[in-house]
Amino acid sequence: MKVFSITAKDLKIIFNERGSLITLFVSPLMFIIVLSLALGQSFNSLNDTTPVRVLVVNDDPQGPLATRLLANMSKAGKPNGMEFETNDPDGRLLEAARAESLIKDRKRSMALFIPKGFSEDVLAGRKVTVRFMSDPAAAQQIVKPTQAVLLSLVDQVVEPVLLQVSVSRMLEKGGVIGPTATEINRQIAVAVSSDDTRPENRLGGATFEAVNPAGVTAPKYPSVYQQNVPGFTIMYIFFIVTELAGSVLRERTDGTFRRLLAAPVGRPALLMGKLLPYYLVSLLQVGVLFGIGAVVFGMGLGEHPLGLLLITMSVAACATSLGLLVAAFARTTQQISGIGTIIVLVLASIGGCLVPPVFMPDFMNNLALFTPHGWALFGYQDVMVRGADWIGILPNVGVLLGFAAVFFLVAARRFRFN
Amino acid sequence: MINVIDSAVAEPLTRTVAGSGLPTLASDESVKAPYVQIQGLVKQYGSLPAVNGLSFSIYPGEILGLLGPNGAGKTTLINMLSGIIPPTSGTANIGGYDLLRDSPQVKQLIGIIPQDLALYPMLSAYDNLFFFGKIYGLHNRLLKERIAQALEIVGLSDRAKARIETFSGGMKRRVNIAAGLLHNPRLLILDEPTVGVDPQSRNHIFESVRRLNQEFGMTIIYTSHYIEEIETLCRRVAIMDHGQLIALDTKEALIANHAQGMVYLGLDRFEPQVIEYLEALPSIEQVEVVTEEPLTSTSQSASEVGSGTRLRCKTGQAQNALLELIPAVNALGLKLTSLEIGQPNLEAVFLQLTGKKLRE
Repeated sequence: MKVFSITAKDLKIIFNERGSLITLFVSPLMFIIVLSLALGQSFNSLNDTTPVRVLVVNDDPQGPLATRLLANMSKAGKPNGMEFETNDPDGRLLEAARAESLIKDRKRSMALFIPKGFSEDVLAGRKVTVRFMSDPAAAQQIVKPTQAVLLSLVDQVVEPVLLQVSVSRMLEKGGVIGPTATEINRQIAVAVSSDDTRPENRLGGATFEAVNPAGVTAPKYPSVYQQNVPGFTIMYIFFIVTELAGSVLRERTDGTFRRLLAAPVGRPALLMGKLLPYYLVSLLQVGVLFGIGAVVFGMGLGEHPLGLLLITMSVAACATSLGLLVAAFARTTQQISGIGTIIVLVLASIGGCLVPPVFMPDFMNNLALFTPHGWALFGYQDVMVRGADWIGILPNVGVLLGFAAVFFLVAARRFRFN
Repeated sequence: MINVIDSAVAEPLTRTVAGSGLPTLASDESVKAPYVQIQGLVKQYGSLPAVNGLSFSIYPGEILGLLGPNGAGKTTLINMLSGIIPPTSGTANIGGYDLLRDSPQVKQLIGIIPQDLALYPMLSAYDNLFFFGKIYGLHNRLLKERIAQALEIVGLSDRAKARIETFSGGMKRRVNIAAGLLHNPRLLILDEPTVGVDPQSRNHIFESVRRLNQEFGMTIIYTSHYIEEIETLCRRVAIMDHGQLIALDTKEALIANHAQGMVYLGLDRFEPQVIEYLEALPSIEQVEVVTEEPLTSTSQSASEVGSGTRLRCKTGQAQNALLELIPAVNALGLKLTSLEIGQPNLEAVFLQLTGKKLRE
């Protein structure tokens, strides 16, 4: 019971100190808000699935090949992340001048122009030109692949026809006429046609299928709040290190430890009573900041809150033990301030709390795994973003508790009450 | 065996039949069983003994003054008696309990008022006392009663809800004392309880200590650098130096047995042969050059002229010494600038035994 008396006393002191409350609760919230506003766009692009929009001006509306090209484009658009618009934003059929002005006005970035007489010229074996227009200011990483896909789609329509025309001409030159020539032409037409789906008329050919490596699912990226809320919460949980070490130092220098040692209370109870309030404050930090993240900013918490709880309990144990370790070695407030700042800022940077891991190179992501911050952050995001349950984050929990155990054991060997 | 812990927890601060005036244990202390019996207590840090074989007794209802220069081992002794540090060897019996074997019971018997202001500045006086009371196992109504009583004893009932950080130094000292009283200790150890306090708080602390001794029957160990506090409060005085007890007796006996008269001479200049010349006088035992101020509170100044060399002459007979010193100074061709007679007192005893002034 004396453990709880000491805990209650320390909690009262912590909540009487406005500076501590600002450090532990208000400061991380400010970081979360400011940096989420600053980085929101970058995070949105990570999960952006908005299709690339391409204007299509069809000046050969009656032509069969133009119709086939549009049909193929419609089929290929979605899988390739593209959307083709044949009408202008006002709903009217798109004309060349209107399409060009939309690109000039930066309302659209790309357009494909099917020329007048496109079908007739192709069927007659004449050369045709299909124009592709793009905004020079548009991102070339998007323009070039789009251009390649469109070229491929045009080729799919034009080349079989040209092949058929070419074969007919060769048959004529070779004197092959009558039923034989007709049957050869029919066979070629069936082979190159994508319209005839009857199995007996289909040849083998090749199909294209997009797949992931075995056992690997497509990556999911956190939203800006799923990065910043856990990131800054973890960073500020570790501010407990300086708070706890400072409190221990004050107990030593003010003589209150001496007074408590003269009372009938055991040293283990005294130590636990000193650690427990800071552990509870860490849990409260996570509760408050994640709560605000979820309720105010709509941060997704995933479907397995037990996983979040386990990570929270582990990282709080880690921070509290590290605070005890600093208290065991530091002798002055300056030392605590210096060591605490290094721990808070450097470990938070390496651990991905300040600079999001998705923007860091691989070696930095590996380096993050040398910090409790990294294991905690990846654990939180596994639950919130990637759907991990409590079993899925047990490795993270194990590593965090391992850190906590090492910190505590080293601290306990070295710790002095006076 | 009487369970002292139970009685301490069960009732408000225990009053005894009020005595009149200072404790009157001298006449019968030899027939009383000691409340504290220290036997061969040693505390060694490496090869350095901080306390080296202390053995003495403290009697129930006594206020024992504990004196010693800095580093004499007083704090180490207090830390051992209050269970903060274990002795290297030796032991003590306190209220019938062995210091080492019955540590929880001993801790319940002792109230320590540390030299540090061992309080939480961000908490109110009430919250501080509430916490320390809980640590000593007090709860509910009894705890509230004890807090109210302790605050009343130190005269701070009206400031119970104010934060400690808003208190003056003297008020903090008084709360510091109150925190040591909550569990109704039978042995109260006050370690420099009046350091840095204003005269009003000092008087209040004095009165509180007297009251705790007389009204509540607490046995008290009192350390201070203010000799007048020891002289006022304590009947017996223990003097420590270099970790050892060098004297323990009543004030009167210490003065009678150890104090020497002092005559302070102020001379216009210093001649090397002066000391040897004066030490040869029949009434003079030792002559030293001194730099510190004379004991003005207990001395008579014949004159105060200039600030030349000052000499301290130890003597058993101050009057004869004066009659010899003045002709001797004349004979040496020196001019006397001041002349003071230091009366034998506790400070003189301390100086005699330790070679140091109490506040050095």
